[in-house]
Amino acid sequence: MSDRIYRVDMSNLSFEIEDVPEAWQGLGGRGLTSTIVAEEVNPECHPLGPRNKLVFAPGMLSGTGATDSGRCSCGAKSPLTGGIKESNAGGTSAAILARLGVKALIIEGLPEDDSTFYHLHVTRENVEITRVPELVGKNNFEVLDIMAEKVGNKAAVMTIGRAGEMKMLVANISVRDPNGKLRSHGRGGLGAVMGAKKVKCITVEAGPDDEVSISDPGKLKAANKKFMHAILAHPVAGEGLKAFGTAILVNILSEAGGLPTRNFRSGECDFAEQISGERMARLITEREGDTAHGCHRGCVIRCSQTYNDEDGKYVTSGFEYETIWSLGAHMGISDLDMIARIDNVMDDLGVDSIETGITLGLAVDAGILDYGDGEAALRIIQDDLANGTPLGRIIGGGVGNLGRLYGLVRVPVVKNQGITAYEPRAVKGQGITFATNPMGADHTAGYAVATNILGVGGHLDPLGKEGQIELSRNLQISTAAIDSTGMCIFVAFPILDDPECMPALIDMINARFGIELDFSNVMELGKRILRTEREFNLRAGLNSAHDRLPEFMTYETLPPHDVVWDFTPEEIDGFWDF
Amino acid sequence: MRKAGYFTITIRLFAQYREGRFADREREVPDGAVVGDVIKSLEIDEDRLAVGIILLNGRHGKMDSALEEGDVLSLFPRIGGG
Repeated sequence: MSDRIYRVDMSNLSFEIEDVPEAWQGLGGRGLTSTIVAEEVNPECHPLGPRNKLVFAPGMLSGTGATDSGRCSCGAKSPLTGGIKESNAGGTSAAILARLGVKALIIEGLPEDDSTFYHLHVTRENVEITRVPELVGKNNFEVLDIMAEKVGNKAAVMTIGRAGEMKMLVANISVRDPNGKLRSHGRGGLGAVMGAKKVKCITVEAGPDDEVSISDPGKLKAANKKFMHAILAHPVAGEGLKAFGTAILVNILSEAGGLPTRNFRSGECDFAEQISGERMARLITEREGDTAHGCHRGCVIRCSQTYNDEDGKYVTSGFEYETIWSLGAHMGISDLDMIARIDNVMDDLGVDSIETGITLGLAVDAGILDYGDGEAALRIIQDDLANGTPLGRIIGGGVGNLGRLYGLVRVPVVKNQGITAYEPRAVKGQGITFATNPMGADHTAGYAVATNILGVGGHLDPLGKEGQIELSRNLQISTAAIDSTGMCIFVAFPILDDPECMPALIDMINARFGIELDFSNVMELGKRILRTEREFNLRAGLNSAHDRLPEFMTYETLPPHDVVWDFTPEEIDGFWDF
Repeated sequence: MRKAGYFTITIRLFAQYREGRFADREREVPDGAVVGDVIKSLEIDEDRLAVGIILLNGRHGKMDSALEEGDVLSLFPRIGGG
């Protein structure tokens, strides 16, 4: 069926279904959420006020059967960064929205009666908006159970936990995955925007006859075969990720001197092995967990896992490198079981495990807890954050705010969003991405680690400046385009190495819409998205002065390579010359 | 005591390279040895799982990088995450 725009106005609890404007027709995912936010949201608005909008958009290929196409984008003005935000997640929402023909779901306005929360149930040509006082104060896993009773197991669920209800800046939006667990639109406080709109959860249900319209199904199928082959033949996407998960990066970053340790005081961690992907894989196997499952149907990379405790009981899933790093090397917890327990509590509460973990690491410098004290970290999350105590609110305000409140200088943020898991001084291409990307410090936005450290897409010396701006620019442009397709960002590994992969992806887009894009059109799309996001940020008051890494990195030397951040402001600003 | 004509390095192996081998070990290598010689001695099957990343004392090295007493050589197959 043809795609439509579903628009919900919370101010009068109504909805409209609109035709897709011509300018939005070739877009999906991040390209569409950022275009809508830039067109319809006043950049100067308060992110939690009536003029912000929360936009969900499945990727261009979501729901088509294309391999690894199940990522859904969520966008708004971010209450954390004050700029534009797109955060994409796996789960079941992208495919179901696409099958219903929901090109984008736009939620605007604030309800007059803010004494309770609402449930939005999206079906073909309808959005049912109901008061759900019984869900207020409930966390994510319980909401999933209640929704399974109410609308069945086949519907997609997007929900906020208590952190989102309290509009904390670390609040995320969680999405039910095919295994009944959670994936997250993690970064930028989008859960606070949903909480401000008093939307507790959104369910999306497609019928058996709801299918994505594909202009040339045969061509899509043939291109998908090539695309899937390129993914499976790649040593990282086809083998490494399902064997060890993303935590395989812990050891190599530490060995390369690029694993931020003890709040960015060193690039190597003496207990890296204990929190490594190798160890995690061994424990999972010994405890009869699962080292390889996908965050969405149709994923062949399967980087996710189920992590059990010593008794073989489920602890968490989707247990990622950045979370393990933040609570591990950064905050000092060397016990992987403890990190797993905290990860599950964070999922349930609905907080970004990255921003929260980095904030807890900074809380060590603030004197709130000791380095490595996992029990204290767990208590702060379970008792303080969950109940919104003053300390919980402080931690729930994210890294930048904690730094300001405690007079700290070594505060790892860009545009007020925490820097993740890769030391910019020792992985300089990634530093350029952290500095310049419109989302703030976002590791996925232009993953220069691939070429700086992992030898994917060639090699560029991580400690040198040469070529890094170009590398980051090319990666950010292609990532903006890939984020619009619904594809998992890990398809970038085969794309960087295998010349067959990108043409197959473009063929699938062309087959879906009956168009004739070529490589340069796709790169133009990526450029247009980045420029649109940058323009929004400029109008929101985020300018070149915000495209900077924290100042301490320019004068504090990082061991073991004894490096500083040495790009001049003019060099960084040259990023935007395209 | 060091054997004449040999010196000692530390070899660290990661991901699948540990299977049937080790994680971290000191090893004596003959004078003049380069990284490629060590890889050969480890019987890594380059067709099945090629060496992806060579780190020599934390910096990227090559097959023909010369080794010295006390070097730490870290070897990885192609890996990635994010």
